[in-house]
Amino acid sequence: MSAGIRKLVICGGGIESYTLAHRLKKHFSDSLSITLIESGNVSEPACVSVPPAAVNFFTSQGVSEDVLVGEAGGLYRTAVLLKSVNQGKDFYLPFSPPGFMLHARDFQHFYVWAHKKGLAHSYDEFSLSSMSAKRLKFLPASKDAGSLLSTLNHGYTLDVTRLKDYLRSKFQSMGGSIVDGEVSSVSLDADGCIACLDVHGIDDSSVVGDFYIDCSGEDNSNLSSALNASFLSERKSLPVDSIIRSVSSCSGSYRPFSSISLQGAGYIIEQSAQYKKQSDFVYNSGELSDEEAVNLFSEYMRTPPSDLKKLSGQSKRRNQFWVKNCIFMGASSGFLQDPFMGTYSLSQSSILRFISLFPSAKESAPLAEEYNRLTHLEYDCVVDFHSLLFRVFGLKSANARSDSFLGEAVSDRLKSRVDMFNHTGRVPFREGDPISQDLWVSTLLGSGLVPRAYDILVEGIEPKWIADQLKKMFQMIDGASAKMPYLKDYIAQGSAV
Amino acid sequence: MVKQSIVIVGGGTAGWMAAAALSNKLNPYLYDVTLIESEKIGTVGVGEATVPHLRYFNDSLGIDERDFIARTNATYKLGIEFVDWGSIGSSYVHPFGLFGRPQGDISFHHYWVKAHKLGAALPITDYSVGAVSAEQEKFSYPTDDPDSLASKFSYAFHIDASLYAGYLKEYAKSKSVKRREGKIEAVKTNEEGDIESLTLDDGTKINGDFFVDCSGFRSLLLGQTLNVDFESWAHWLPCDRAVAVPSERSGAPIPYTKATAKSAGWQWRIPLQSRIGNGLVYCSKYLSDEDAEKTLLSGLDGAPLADLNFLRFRAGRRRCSWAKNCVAVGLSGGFLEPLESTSIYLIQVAITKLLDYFPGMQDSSYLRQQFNAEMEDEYKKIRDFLILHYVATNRDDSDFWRYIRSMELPESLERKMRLFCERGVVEQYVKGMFLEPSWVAVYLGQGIVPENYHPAVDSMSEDELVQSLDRLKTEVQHHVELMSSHADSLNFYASEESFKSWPPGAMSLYGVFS
Ligand SMILES: Cc1cc2nc3c(=O)[nH]c(=O)nc-3n(C[C@H](O)[C@H](O)[C@H](O)COP(=O)(O)OP(=O)(O)OC[C@H]3O[C@@H](n4cnc5c(N)ncnc54)[C@H](O)[C@@H]3O)c2cc1C
Ligand SMILES: Cc1cc2nc3c(=O)[nH]c(=O)nc-3n(C[C@H](O)[C@H](O)[C@H](O)COP(=O)(O)OP(=O)(O)OC[C@H]3O[C@@H](n4cnc5c(N)ncnc54)[C@H](O)[C@@H]3O)c2cc1C
Repeated sequence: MSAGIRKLVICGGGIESYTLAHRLKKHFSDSLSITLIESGNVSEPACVSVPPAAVNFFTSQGVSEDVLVGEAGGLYRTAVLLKSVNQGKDFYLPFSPPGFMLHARDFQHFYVWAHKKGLAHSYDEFSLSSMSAKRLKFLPASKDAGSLLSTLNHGYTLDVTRLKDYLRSKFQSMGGSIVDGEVSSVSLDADGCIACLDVHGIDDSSVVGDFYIDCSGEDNSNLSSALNASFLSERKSLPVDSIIRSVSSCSGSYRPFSSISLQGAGYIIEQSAQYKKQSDFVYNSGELSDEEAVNLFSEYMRTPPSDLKKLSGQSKRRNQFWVKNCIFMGASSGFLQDPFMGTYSLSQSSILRFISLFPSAKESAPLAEEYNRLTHLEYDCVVDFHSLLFRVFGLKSANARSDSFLGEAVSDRLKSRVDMFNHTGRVPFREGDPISQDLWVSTLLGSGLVPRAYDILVEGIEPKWIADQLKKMFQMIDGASAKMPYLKDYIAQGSAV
Repeated sequence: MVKQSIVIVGGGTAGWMAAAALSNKLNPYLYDVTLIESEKIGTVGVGEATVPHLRYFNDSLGIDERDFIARTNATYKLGIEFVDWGSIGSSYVHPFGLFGRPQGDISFHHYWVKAHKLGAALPITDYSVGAVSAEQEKFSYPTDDPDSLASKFSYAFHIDASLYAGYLKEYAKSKSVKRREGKIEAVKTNEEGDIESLTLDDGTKINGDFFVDCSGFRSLLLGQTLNVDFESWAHWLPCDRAVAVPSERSGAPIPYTKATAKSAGWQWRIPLQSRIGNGLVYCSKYLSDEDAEKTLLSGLDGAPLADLNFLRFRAGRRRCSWAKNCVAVGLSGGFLEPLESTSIYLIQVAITKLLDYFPGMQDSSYLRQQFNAEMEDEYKKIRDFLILHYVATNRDDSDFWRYIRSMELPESLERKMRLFCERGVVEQYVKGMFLEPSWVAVYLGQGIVPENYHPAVDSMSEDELVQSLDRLKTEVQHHVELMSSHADSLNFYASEESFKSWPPGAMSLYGVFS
């Protein structure tokens, strides 16, 4: 190896740590030695939901769907249900884009055109993945490019404990080493880089590496204090700060979607894998006392308040994610709330970024700078998207106009994006955005913002022809989703084979 | 909707490409398209090398590629050979395609860098089907088998630009574009500053709702009438003149452009079916027109076929391409010197974006803003890539090259170069032209080898590495052996009966499958 990162140390034993550790082992085999330090006090989530990008992520890591949805107990997910979002109606934010292009123009313009002429269907009714999710049905994408089913897309809701156990045992069998104990102090070298971590455990020890990844979760770790790493607050854009969680076991009725619904000064996220269901109430403690929150939540969940767990959930991100010879990943990189693009999903893309920028010496300013630049680009987009979801929920009236639609506390980036949508019917592409333009459009249309304008070239097409096409599309999608198997049966079949 | 009239000013490559695309997409019951051109003024008369994206443009017009080749006197272009750039005596091909094969997420060039440091690598172009077939003057269509290296390259054309404009003129007229001959003498704007009408030298007045300025360097509407500033990039791309001349063909046409660096600029050689296009691009501060003429003529490999065409330009762009009710397409919007033949690509992009953001419904300021932001991004990405060719060198044999050495770079390029030098990383982006393989081609072709390669390369043993490069080389050679000569392929594909045998065009990477 050129100059040498021979030894990498990961601090933390959560899902993020093991995903990274396993990935790096796959990549570097024996040319990189990896030590993972885990302390026993685990308070990890039961479920995490990930978008379609995760399919490739896991495949290229050698973790198959048979594992994810089989032994690791996850479920397929094709949409996010936004409960009573627009005039009390539910909207299924789809993973496969609604409709089809006509005359090489995007479908959304035809939809807006028709909507203005009184079309009764909502936007998600043109998406096969929304329609199938609504009916609790599922099929993976067909490989036959000509088939309607080839447009499908899915992500997962994963069972954190089971998946972690799987990755952990793989990591160990590939020669990765695990140290039990808690990092109690950090020593720096003359350059200000981390030289070693002192671990307090059954046997006290000191772990030395060339490069470190901090996956120690939400609490400000001793690595970050040693490196003077700080956070930027995202409270303004994402004005919630507290979480109460309820986890229950899940019986039988599989849902191929996760859901979000507005409750008081917050929202409830519900996600379920095969054996577990997790519900989180995320709220603003300035507007709701903890007691009020607990009452509200237990009423909604019909759970005794004693079964609830309280977590902190300040919205923030690192000023710099890569400092000296250390990267902060997972919950320790920040928390942008998780209604759509969760922290774990963001780490998957951070892992890929880290691998592509993997340093060849313990310190590399250009690589760190690039990593930070790209990570911020991605986080900007996610903050904006979540911030949009909050505004959407904060707004109960219909016929929103973009001026009042967003309210005050959002970034100029988001304002200009929504303005652009409102005045042109298009959401501009942004470099580094993990959320597709289709999803932005679905979210905006689904939440009731019908843009003032659409692609003018639609006007040049015979109206009756467009109307017929839309009708046909709807029938095709409706018909195809009705014929799909129930997720439950699909899974049962799979495990029978 | 009241019928709108669109007026295109200028009948060069930009004007007729715009006319063809607009008439193909716009409903003739709703839009009138008129194009005004002046024989007195004429066109710039250069611009013969293209990039693969043009194939997508032609596809979307429904043009038969074989017909296009026959009508424009075209040859295939697999890339550009750069001679004397990194240092005098060195040369490399920048192909429209990939090098080798990535291993998982790690691009091939990292493996190459390690092998190179071990002294066990051939030039990186030897691992590219696109580059080797260019060197061996062979050509065939790429295949569509994603596992085969023969699917990892694409191609463009060398064309007679005036024939292409004529071809598109025919196309546009058949789609009811009206052509007006005449020199525009006056432009009238209304109180809002929008352009209202144009007056021709014979006194005719032409009204329009929307104007497409394809008037070339003059920038008659955007620059002269709407006063949009020109942002000069001449401090980074100092060449400001060119002299061009066609010459007699010697031997069969080769499937690539040649760009040879000179003491105060560079010289192009573009092979067409019937002749060769030549030109010297130079910096007037360091070379006189007379010396330029001498350099050009002494570098021809056949007798000149016409008078010399002297051209002046400035590298840079109008601060925005769309102002008021007018979009500039082509040279009127900007020009970045012809080094990587990106000008027709920029025309294509502007036209495509204009159609994507076509104005007419309510306030078009948002469409304009988006269009301008995207065009600016396209220009800047190409700009950085062009500058790289000049700075990735150890040449200091003239004042021109010494100036280049001393100049300060755009921050965006400095960052890119730092990343590459440190660890062979090419900045990733999705939109815009020249992605990783192109950057790698120029860096390595011009002698910038990164300090370090991706550490994952070390999980392969040195023996394995050397063997795998060897296998790759054999694989590449095998594919190229199966190809016919460029000249034979030109004949063969042209005579094929089947309706559409050429691979589809695309706007991604090089418009290939990978
Ligand atoms: C309401 C809510 C909903 C969410 N929904 C989603 C979702 O749908 N999708 C998604 O992708 N993400 C979601 N997330 C985020 C996801 O749950 C977190 O990203 C993930 O759990 C964080 O994992 P982690 O491994 O970084 O941290 P943790 O799970 O907190 O693990 C940290 C580990 O580090 C160890 N540790 C801590 N300090 C030390 C020390 N000093 N020494 C040694 N070990 C130490 C701990 O013991 C623990 O094992 C959600 C989060 C919340 C709050
Ligand atoms: C040295 C050089 C080499 C180049 N090489 C390449 C290359 O290899 N590849 C590539 O892609 N590009 C190349 N280009 C760029 C390419 O030539 C141009 O992008 C292309 O020709 C388009 O030009 P245009 O249509 O914008 O302008 P022009 O060809 O100049 O056309 C302008 C039109 O406007 C009309 N006009 C102007 N004023 C008036 C008026 N007042 N009234 C009426 N009509 C008017 C003219 O008559 C003419 O029809 C090169 C450019 C230069 C300078």
